[in-house]
Amino acid sequence: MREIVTLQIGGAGNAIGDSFWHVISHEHGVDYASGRFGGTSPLQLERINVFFNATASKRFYARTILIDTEASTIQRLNASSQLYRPENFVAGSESAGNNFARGYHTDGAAILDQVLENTRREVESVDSLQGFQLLHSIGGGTGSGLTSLIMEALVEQYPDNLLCNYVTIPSPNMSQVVVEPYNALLSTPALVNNSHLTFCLDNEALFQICNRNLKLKMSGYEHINHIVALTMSGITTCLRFPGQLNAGLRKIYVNMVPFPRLHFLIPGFAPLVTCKQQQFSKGTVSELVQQIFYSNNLLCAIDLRKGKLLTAAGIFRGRMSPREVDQLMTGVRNKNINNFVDWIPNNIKTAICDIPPRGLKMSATFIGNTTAIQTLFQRLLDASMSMLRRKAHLHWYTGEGMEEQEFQDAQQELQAIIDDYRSSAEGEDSGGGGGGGGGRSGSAESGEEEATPEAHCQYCTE
Amino acid sequence: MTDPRIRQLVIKSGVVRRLTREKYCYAKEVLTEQARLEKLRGDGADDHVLRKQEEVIQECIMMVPDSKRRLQKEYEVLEKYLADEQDLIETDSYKKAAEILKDAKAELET
Repeated sequence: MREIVTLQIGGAGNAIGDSFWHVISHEHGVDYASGRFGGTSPLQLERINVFFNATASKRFYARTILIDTEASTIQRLNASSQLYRPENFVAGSESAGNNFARGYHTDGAAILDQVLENTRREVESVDSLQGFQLLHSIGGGTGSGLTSLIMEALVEQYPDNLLCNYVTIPSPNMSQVVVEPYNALLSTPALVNNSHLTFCLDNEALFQICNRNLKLKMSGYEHINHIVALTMSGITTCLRFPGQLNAGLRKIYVNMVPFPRLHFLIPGFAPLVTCKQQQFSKGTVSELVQQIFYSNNLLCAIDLRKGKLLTAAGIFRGRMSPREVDQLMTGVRNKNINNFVDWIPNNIKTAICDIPPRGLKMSATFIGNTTAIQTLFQRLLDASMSMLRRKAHLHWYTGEGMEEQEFQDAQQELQAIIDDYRSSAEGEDSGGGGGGGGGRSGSAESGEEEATPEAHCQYCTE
Repeated sequence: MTDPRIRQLVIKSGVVRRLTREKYCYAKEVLTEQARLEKLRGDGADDHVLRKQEEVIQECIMMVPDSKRRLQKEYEVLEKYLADEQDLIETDSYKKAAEILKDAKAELET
């Protein structure tokens, strides 16, 4: 019951997907290579069906569809693990070549029907679908273009279900491709209009985490993918283990997203330490609570203090006192009350799960919906603007049938979401794009009454 | 599916079927979490843990009317669609959709 179908799209999407399945299969006692259960606790099986399909012989498969416009990357996954169903690999014959237009219009469109057919088969085999989880980057052609196309189809065919995106965002420090800003820009309309929850995984922040926190001299994608997988494991803890708040995508959506357009969430994780460093850490709950509010522990290169938190959640894992956790979280909010909007009361949630991640005794995962996300959007907008002003590299896109107007439309959409977040920090005319109303500063009671109906109304209207 | 009307019928009936399941699951979840609270109370759990479990139950309860409202809306959409497309009445998709509508109506009445 309450199952999720995963789609991992493009090279980056499949890389972080593979890391994710590594991590959560281990947490549920399922061997990554063979798919067989070898765990010790009934808790590991109680909600394993949220992400895994089971056979009669206690063999488990990841409920995921592995998608790329070229076959080589996902063929490697097929060879490395029996966790993936062979029929759930969907490969095209030609790479999207880091071009959104080829992902959306040509090479990606060629495999869309197969993707949707595989998705339909998974959807019809589950008991009660709660939504889709899409893993992709927005810097590459497949992860940006094909994902936008898939999202449009999912919203049309499964309008009752939630789309949750885990989006890898390009960084100039790790960029190997000059047109990444264009792909990221063109992805924006689909993420703003069709996603319900978008977790932003910023390569800029991940690069800094590897260099600063972990002191890795030559950080590669394998380290980054592992950090991402740990964080995704934390975010999905409440979906996979019993008894805690936010035990469903829709509840996360209802709690974290005050206005439908403001659904870009920033994850964080603590502790971000190497095995060596862990020896010097006391590993107290107090440390975890402090760390998850450090900008250094966020997977997005932003400063929380430069904006206001609309909503936040802390997910704690391991043996700890629930009373202590709540007191510390309340304490952080009260001490930093100026960094929270005042028109959404009780806008911080806490969940605790006894089962710690592999290799750690305690951990905490942060999810924040903050107006500081503007910083990230502005970076993407600026990067694309400087190239677009001179029409550099535009012919790769217009040559595939796109028009310049589509770039301008996407820039307007990106600017609009920046403005929406900016105005919600001020507490007036919040959630622009809604039909007026919205929360107002001052009266907490008023804010509570107005915010919730707004969210529901917007959902109905959509 | 060559007829776009049948395609829309399959989409709409799929939505209603899933929302029916969802509403049922949320209602059942409330009972599950209430049973968990009783067990925690019987085991002499800390007051804080009990309050937390009350919070969990309130969240579950909150989801039920939301789910019901969404189901009601889609039920009406499908009902109207079936009434408008009577000439499809002999198709498998239409019959399946009518069955789904009946199940949804039963769930809405609980």
